[in-house]
Amino acid sequence: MFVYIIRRLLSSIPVILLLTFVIFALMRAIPGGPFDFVGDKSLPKAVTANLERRHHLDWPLGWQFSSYLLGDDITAGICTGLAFLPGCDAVQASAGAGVSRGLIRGDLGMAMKQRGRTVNDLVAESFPISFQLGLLALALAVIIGIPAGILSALRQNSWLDYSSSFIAVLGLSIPNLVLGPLLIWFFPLTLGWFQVATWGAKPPFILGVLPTNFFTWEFWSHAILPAFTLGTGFSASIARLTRASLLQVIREDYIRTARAKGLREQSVMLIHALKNSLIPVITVLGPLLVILVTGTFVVEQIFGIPGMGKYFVTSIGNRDYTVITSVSLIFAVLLVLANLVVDIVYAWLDPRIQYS
Amino acid sequence: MAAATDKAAQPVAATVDRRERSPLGDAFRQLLKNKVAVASGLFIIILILLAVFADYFNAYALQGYSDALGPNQPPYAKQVLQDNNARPGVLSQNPSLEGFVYWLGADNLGRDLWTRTLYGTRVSIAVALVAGTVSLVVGVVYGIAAGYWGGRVDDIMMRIVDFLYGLPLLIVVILVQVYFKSLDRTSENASLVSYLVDIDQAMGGMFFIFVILGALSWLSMARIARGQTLSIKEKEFVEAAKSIGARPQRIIFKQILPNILGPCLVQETLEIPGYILTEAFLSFIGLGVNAPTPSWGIMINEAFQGLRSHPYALVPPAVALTLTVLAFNFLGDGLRDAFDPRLRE
Repeated sequence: MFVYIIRRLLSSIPVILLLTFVIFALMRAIPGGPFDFVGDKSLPKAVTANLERRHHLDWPLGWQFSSYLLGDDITAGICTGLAFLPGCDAVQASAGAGVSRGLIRGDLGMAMKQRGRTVNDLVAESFPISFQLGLLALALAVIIGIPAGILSALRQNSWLDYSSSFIAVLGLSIPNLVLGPLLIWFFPLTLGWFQVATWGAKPPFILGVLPTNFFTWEFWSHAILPAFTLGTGFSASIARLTRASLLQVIREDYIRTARAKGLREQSVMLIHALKNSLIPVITVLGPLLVILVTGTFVVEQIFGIPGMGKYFVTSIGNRDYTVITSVSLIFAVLLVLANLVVDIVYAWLDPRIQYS
Repeated sequence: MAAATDKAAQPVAATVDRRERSPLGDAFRQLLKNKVAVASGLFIIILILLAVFADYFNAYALQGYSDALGPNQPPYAKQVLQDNNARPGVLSQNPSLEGFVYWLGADNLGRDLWTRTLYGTRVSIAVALVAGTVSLVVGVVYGIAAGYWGGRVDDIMMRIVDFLYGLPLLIVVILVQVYFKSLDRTSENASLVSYLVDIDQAMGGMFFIFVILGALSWLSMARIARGQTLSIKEKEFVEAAKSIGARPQRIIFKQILPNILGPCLVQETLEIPGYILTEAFLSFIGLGVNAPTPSWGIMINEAFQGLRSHPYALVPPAVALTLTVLAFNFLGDGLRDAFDPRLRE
């Protein structure tokens, strides 16, 4: 198992690097650069040139990526060793002006539009907030979705089943874009409950991600509405899947066997049926996490939450190359990890699955 | 008379089996039994008709005020500043629109909300149809090619899909959309790019959304088509066709395609809400269609800005968007049940 995990992680590295490079190159292909404007004003040519030199925008693309990955000193080192490579003169001319220590040393780069701030700072501030929101939404989805699915499967074709199936389709269909503003209109604006915008937890965070004020109203008054907005759709799809899967499982032979040998209905359902019926549910948790990641992005926009999602819109619009590249990289890594966790949970739920 | 009773006395199966049956026809007959799915289908057809004939169903045309504010302005862009933020059911304050009722209210520029929601249907339906068709065609062709030829070809084609699947879709959509949006400022001479930008502007900024969504959303379709092809091509009837010397294109079009089309159509219907929502979100953050072309996303954003004082402006686009997504989901569910032979009696 351990070897399997290591192998999976290693084999995902090229994919992640390729993906990062695609974003890196696409971003630079968009007309306009990060230093064209500051606010509404354009900068003097000399200042722009200086800033571009500092961020190595005058280098060929491949060398820029090398600086991002390996840092300026190693890139310059490669150029001293292999001076015949194209573009090396530009690298050697201005490697000293840069500040990149490189991804391999954990440096995600300098933000281009926020002077003096590193992407590491921005991520350390905003990632925990997105993470908390995503986790709350996932918890909500599982807590509502799985019991609802089980109930409607156990009482198949009853009014309970019909109404929960109907609510599930409704929950699946109401877009975040609609639910968020509706909830804001209803609760904070009309009834005066909860907070309209922003997030209740502030740094420092426990373990870097968890809120210190988790048990206070300040946290929940900000968190309930966005978590509900984000979690509704997921809980609906989890409920539908649990129902379908459980209905299939209780028709299996081994359930009949379990009943035939006189087990109580409770233990037949809880031990034999439920565990097996959760395998397909776990399967969708992987893709669901992906949607969760992009979903937070919509919800963060609506609720004005200072999470990582806002950097997608602002940093692409601003042409902040380092921020968008690094943030995409982090999401790619998270997706790989999420899928890996899903596969490990698989093996735990279904001993027939062997990884080697 | 006697003949008719004779027919009724015969077992049903005997009369049914004489007809020629195709998988698609079977599924369609099954679908018609599902009331919710039929209602959703009708709703979508009505929506398409409303989108096409929006010029006749907007509030100005229905109430006979089409030319009251100048004939050259599209109805969705007619601004009446006296009527800004008019509440639902209020009469217009503008002298040339005397007696005109804002059924659903007006936005902060005095534009009728019913009219704007109606024209917003065009954007959503167009995105659904174009992105849906592109992703269906590209995905099915790609999937069949990979599944049918198999081996090395399959390996390479599916690795490409896996890689593209790993891309964070929304980030790429935003990136490409920002790229296209920045083109209109930079392209000056006549080239392919400026030609495309012209098309985009003529379509109110929809063209590039079509291209992006179509180009990036065929991946799961390709996977499904490949999986289905893999299982169909091992079936006896394909073997039989091969043994009498049928050529690959005949096998693909006559044997494989009709049999995999069902699951692919179901999948496509279930993915359409995603396209509609992506367009709405892009418009919401200002990267979608260009003003004054209305899109439900833009309208939700505008209503969201004035939520404190004019919350009723949120209702029309929100209801329209939710009902449309709901209809496609119900229809997709109905189609899935209809194509599942195990659920037939």
